[in-house]
This record gives sequence, structure tokens and C-alpha cells, in this order.
Amino acid sequence: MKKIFSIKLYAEGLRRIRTQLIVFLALSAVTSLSASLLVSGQVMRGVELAFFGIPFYVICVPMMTVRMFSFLNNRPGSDLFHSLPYRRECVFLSLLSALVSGIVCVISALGAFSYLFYLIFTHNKGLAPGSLIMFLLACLAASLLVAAIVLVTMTVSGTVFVELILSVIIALLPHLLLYFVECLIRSSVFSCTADAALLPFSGIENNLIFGIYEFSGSSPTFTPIIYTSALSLVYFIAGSILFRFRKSETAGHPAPSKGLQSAFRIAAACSISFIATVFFVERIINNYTVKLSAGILVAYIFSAVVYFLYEIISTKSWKSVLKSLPVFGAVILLNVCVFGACFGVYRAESDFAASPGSITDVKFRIMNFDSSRWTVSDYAKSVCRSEGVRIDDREILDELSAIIKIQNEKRGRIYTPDGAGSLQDLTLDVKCGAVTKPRRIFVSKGLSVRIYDYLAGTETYKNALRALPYPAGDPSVSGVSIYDGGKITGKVIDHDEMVKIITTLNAELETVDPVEWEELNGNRYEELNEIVYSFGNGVNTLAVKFSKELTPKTYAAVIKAAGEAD
Amino acid sequence: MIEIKNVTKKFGAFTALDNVSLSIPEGCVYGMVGSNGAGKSTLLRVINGIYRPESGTVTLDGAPVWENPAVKRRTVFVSDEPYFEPGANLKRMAAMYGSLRPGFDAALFNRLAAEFELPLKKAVGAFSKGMKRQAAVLLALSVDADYYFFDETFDGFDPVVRSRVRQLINRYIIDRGVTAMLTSHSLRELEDVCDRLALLHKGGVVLDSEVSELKTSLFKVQLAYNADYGKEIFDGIEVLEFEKNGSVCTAVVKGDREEVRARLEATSPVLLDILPLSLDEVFRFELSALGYTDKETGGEI
Repeated sequence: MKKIFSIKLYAEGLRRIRTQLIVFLALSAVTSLSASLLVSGQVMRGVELAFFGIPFYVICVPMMTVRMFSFLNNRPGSDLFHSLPYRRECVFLSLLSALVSGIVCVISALGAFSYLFYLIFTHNKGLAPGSLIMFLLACLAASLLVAAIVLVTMTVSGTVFVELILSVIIALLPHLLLYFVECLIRSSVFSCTADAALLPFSGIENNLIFGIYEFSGSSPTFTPIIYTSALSLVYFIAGSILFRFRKSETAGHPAPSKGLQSAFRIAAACSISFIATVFFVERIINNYTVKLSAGILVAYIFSAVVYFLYEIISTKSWKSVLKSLPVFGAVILLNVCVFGACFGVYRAESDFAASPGSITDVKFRIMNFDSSRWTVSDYAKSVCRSEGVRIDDREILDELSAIIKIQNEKRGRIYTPDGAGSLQDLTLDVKCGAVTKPRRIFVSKGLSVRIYDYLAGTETYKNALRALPYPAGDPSVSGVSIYDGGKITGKVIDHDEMVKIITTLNAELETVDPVEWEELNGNRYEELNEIVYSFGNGVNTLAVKFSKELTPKTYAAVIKAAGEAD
Repeated sequence: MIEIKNVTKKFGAFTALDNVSLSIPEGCVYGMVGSNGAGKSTLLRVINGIYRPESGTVTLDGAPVWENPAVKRRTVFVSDEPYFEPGANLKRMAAMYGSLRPGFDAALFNRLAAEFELPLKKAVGAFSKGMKRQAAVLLALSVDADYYFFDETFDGFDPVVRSRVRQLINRYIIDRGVTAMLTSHSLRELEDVCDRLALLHKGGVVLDSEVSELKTSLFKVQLAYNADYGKEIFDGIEVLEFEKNGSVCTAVVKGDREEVRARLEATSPVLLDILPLSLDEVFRFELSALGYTDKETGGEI
């Protein structure tokens, strides 16, 4: 069996980064101590450690990676390591394991020190272990991705300069390019929503190298951690394959071949010019008077400077600069391709769902209600949204297509004879064949009513009307209003009592005529009896009408609870 | 036995090794000379499985070297620029070799370091170039291997160190009967220790011969006659160079020494001396016989 791991090489790997590890461990201790002192008395969520965490994966991890695999940049080192009696896979995996161990060690120490110092300085009152662990996991994922990117660049080059440039390009360019193209689409295609992403996971928040603050700021989820870790795994696998086939003679040279040297040089130049091209397209699409602005022109010139500067620095030869001149045509050609691709993407996004018969179905992505105080009908509609009830009425869909087309052509909301004030802002997931994209459509009140009526006709809606949510969130908003012949009495009901009332109501609704129940709750007169309570995540409150005649058991339960509340 | 068959190695458009074939028997101390860019270092790296050739095969005792740990365990390679960990001292380097090279004898290394008065605790970075090479040789010789490869390792040693290193090679390579390949710019560095010598030029082996054979098959003849004579006196003998001053001529001749002597004695010369050539001279005449000039070979051998 082929040996793919050597404990001796692993130990040697750890020895190679020993000094760095000691320094970084000391820094993590200092950081943890500082963070615990600075936020003493407040809840620590982990993000406070970012002032070590971010520099760690941006600066320290590349240093550790370059140190671990430094023999790839050094001919004598390359000679020694490649003449050792180990297969290349074994060298790679053993040293990579040592590198990952070093990274895990520093990040674990950061967490352990933080926990320790919090116990000492805040008597365990201010630590949120869950979010601290999530932040540390995010740091670990970002560190692994940085290490993987640097490692990939080390396998295709033999100088630190080229590796630095390529690492920045690999880490930044795909996300940055996607981000700017998405900005172009959002600013040019009126129906595109703010969260329209061209590719799944292309959002900057999913790449923890850039999105760690956004990740830590909101309630952290595992998605960015999984995405970043998966991406680093892909790079590690690519690195191992490239390492296996790497030409040893690359050590000390900018690239293993002239072709790759040209490719790297082109990539360096294109990392600037591509962004300029996207902006150029944006100005053309949006009919700017001056299409080639000074900024774009400067970016193009800077891109050309980078192209030649890269060649001079990487090869330290003026001759090679002259030789690289004809290949500059590739930079121009690639920019023409990006130019065309941007127009193609713009056209595809603009035309999406804009022709009659093209929409398969739609479902609500976001539902906007007039207030946070929901009616039972609002609640049932929201259930339709969360359960993804699809609207496939051909007439409605074709009207939506027509609106999307006009919106995109006119670049704005289109007012109909219904009147400007009656336009409803709908954010829908529009499905055309196998593709689903979010679209923001401003529809007339009439169409909006028809769409909601369509929902009201679904089983999901009807079931939701009779299966009301249980109280949750803020108990202070739980209360009842009882109309008693011209007098309204309001009572605050505690949580447990409100749970009993809703249990009684839900049981009673099984036997109540749904039409009558819907009519009762469609009545906006305040003189009716009403139960109000917060539910779900506590953001919204639900106002439920009830009556002595239609829901006598609930009425009795409310009277009883109100009497007890006195 | 090292078997190199039709090996070609290119670096972009530059062909460093052009269809090289060599066979190095077990126990042989093989020397390779050649100017810069001749392909000596490349060949050693290919033999050690560091570079992968575009075509051809390299086998050690019949087994391919590339990505073959079992074969690499039997080889030690000392690069023309020895590698030392940044900031490391010899103690650390010995520990590294001990960890990564099976068969490394730390006690032997310590003995050799003491013998060569190399400080174990001083950073190798502070060593002179010669000391670094000595350290690299000692580290390599402390590994129990079957094949040793030294790339220009002995170039630039002072005479005292050179002599001590030669003794080491005698002790640890020749006496143990293991195989070694040594390269150098200069034939003088190799002639005392090698059994066999090759000359590489522009990626090809232009000469490959036993040292003893080289030294005996070429020799200088000094000849004088009472009567006038010309080069025709050597008819039937391969003459590489002929020069006549007055009645005395000097010729560089290739062939069997006794047979040449007998033929020339038969012509009744008044003077007949057969003198040995230095290895440098042998190489120069062999190459000129092959059609190479000093200028072409870099004039360094």
C-alpha cells in the first residue's frame, strides 16, 4: 500500500513552524486578555476577538503556509525534500496536516484563553459560548481557505512575489467580479431585487475571509462556515493534485512554463481591467453621457502598468517585457469577452420572465403587510409564503410577465389607471422552467387582490386560518378586548392563560364554519371581541376576532381568564 | 547499478539533457565534468527523482527512481547549493536528517563534525561557503546509503580540506564499495578519486571511459633521427598531434603503448621517449579527436 502520511514528516512540519506558533500563541493570549478587559461587564460574542482573528488569517496563516512549504520556492530545499524517500502525496499530506494542526492550535488557544480570562475577569457573567465558538469556527474556516489558496499558488509558482499576487487574485477576483456584475444587474434591471445573486453562495457574506464581520454581526449560521470550509477543501484537493505533478525546477522561478507565466501576468492585469469593464458596461446600459469616464480610463491604464510591472518584477528582465508585449492582446481580448458576457448576463436577466407564457409559477419571497399587527388572514397568507404555495394562474402569470417587461424597459414602476397610490410592491420568486429568480414587481391593487385571493383559495390558507400559532415572544402584549354592549374592556392575560385560550380556540375552530370564521375576522370594526398576542419570533402580533355566538368556548375561556386577571 | 536510457530533459525551449544514456556499475566512483549548462546537475537531479525527464528511464538496480521511496531510501544527494533550514545549526540539521532520512547515524555525524572541527551549535548561516559544503558532505556520508551523489560539492575546497574530504570518500565510499557520482567543473577535482569519467557537453555525453584506460591509451612520444624525416614516420599509428623542432619531434599518440614503441624502435631513432599525459591533456586530445574544441567545451576542463 502506498504510504500517504508520515508521522516523522508531520513532526518535522511542526518544527518548521514552531517559532511562529509560539509567537502567535502569545499574541492570542494577549488578544484574549485585552478583549476580556475591554468588554468587561458586557456579553462577549466572539467578534471582539476579531482584531486578532482577522490579522491571524490574513497575515499569520500565509506566513505559516509559506514557511511550511518554503522548499517549493528554494532550489536547494526543493532538492532535499524531493530526494527524500517519500512519495509526493506523503510529503504534501504530512506537511499540510502539520499546518492545519498549527492553525487549529492557535485558534483553539484563542478560544481557551478567552474563556479563561472571562472566568477570571467577569465571573462567568458575560460570555456567550455559542457565538464565541461560532466565531472561532468562522476564523478557522477563513484560515483554512487562506492556507489553501496560498498553497495552490505555491504549487504553480516558485517565488513569494508571484504567490502573493496570485493569492490575492484567487481570493478576491471571483467574488469581486461577481459582486460588481450583480451590482450592474441590480442597477440596470429594474425588476431585480437587492438580494438577486447570479450564483448560489456568491454573496460576499458566505466567504468568511471577507464576510466575518457580517457573519458575526447577525445571528451566525453554519452556511458561511460550511461554504468556506468546502471551498478550502476544493483548493486543498487542487493543491494536492498540482503538488503531485509540480515540476521541481519551478522552485525559485515565477512560473513552471512560459505559458503559465503569461497566464499569471494576464490574470494580474485583468483583475483590474475586468472591474473597469463592468463599470463601462454599466454606464453604457444606463445611458450615461460620458461612457468612458476618467476613473475607468485610469483603471485601464493602471491595468496595463500592472501587466508590464508584473513581468519586470517577476522575471527581473527588461527583455522579457518586450517579449510579453504581443500577449497583451490577450488582456484586451479577455476584456472584450467580459464586456460581451456582461451584456449577455444583463440581457438574460432583463428578459427573464418578460415574455407571455414564460413564467411557470410564482411564490411569495417577501410579504409586506401594512402593520406589524397581523390579522388572521395576514397570518394565513404568511403561512402560504413560508410553505411556498405556488401561484400558477396563467392569466395572473402573463400579467406579471407584461409588467416585468415594461418595468425593465422603462426602468421604473409603471403606474396603471388604478392610480399611483394603489401600486403594490410584491417580491416574488419567479420560476421559468427550471430556473427560479427573485423579482420585485409593482402591481396594481386589482392584480394584488387577485393574487391574494388566489392564495385565499388554497388549502394551505384555509388550514392556516384554523390553526393559529401559539403565543411566543413578548408576554406584555398578550391581552384581550371584550365588547359588552357598548363597552370595551381590555385585559392583560399572562402567557400560560393565553396558551390555554389559543388551545381552546384551535380546538373549537375544527367545528366552526370556515366561511363564517373568515367573515368574522375580515370585520375591521373594533367593537368586536379580540385576542392579541405576539407569536413566532415575537416581531409581529396577531389580532384574532372571536364571538360569543361563533366561538362560545373561546368566549367563555376569555371571560374566565379576564376574570382571573382582575 | 545505475542505468540511464535515452533521457531527455527540457526546460521550456532549452534542452538540458539530450537523449543521454549511461550505465554506471555498482561500486564505481563516477566523475562527470562539463562546463556550466552542460547538464551535470540536471542529470543528477533526474537520477535522484527530483526532476522528471520528458522521455527516457532511470533505474537503480532495475527499479525506477521516480516516486519510488524504496529506491530513494538507498540514495543521498548533495546539491551544488546545500540546503540548511533558516537559522538552524548543525545539531538541528542532524536532527532533521535523523527524522527524515532512514539510516542516518547521528553518532557518526557527531564524530565527523568533531574531526572537521565544525561547531554543532553555531548557526549554519554564519558558516563560510566551504564549511557549509563540508557540513553537507558530512550529513550525507552519515546516511547509510548505497548511492551517493555530489553535485560540484568538492569545488572550491582549500587543498587541506580537499585532502581530508578525499580521505573521507576513500573511507566511507570506496572502502564500503558503494556507488558514487561526483560532478565538477574541473577534472583536477575528480581525477584522484574516480574510477570512471564522463564529459557532458550541451546536454550530451561526449566521452565516457575508465580513468585507467584514458591514461594508458593516450601518451606522448618524443623522437629524433639523424636524417631528415616527417610525419610519415608515424604511418599506421593514430597521431592526434604532431610537432617538430629541429631534429626532435613530439607526437600525441593513441594506441597500445608497447606496440607503438616496437614499431618506432624498428625505425632506429636516436631518441625515443614515451611519456604519460595528465588527465587534463588526455581529455583535451580525446575531445579534439571527437571534433570538439576547447572553446566549445568552455575550456574549463
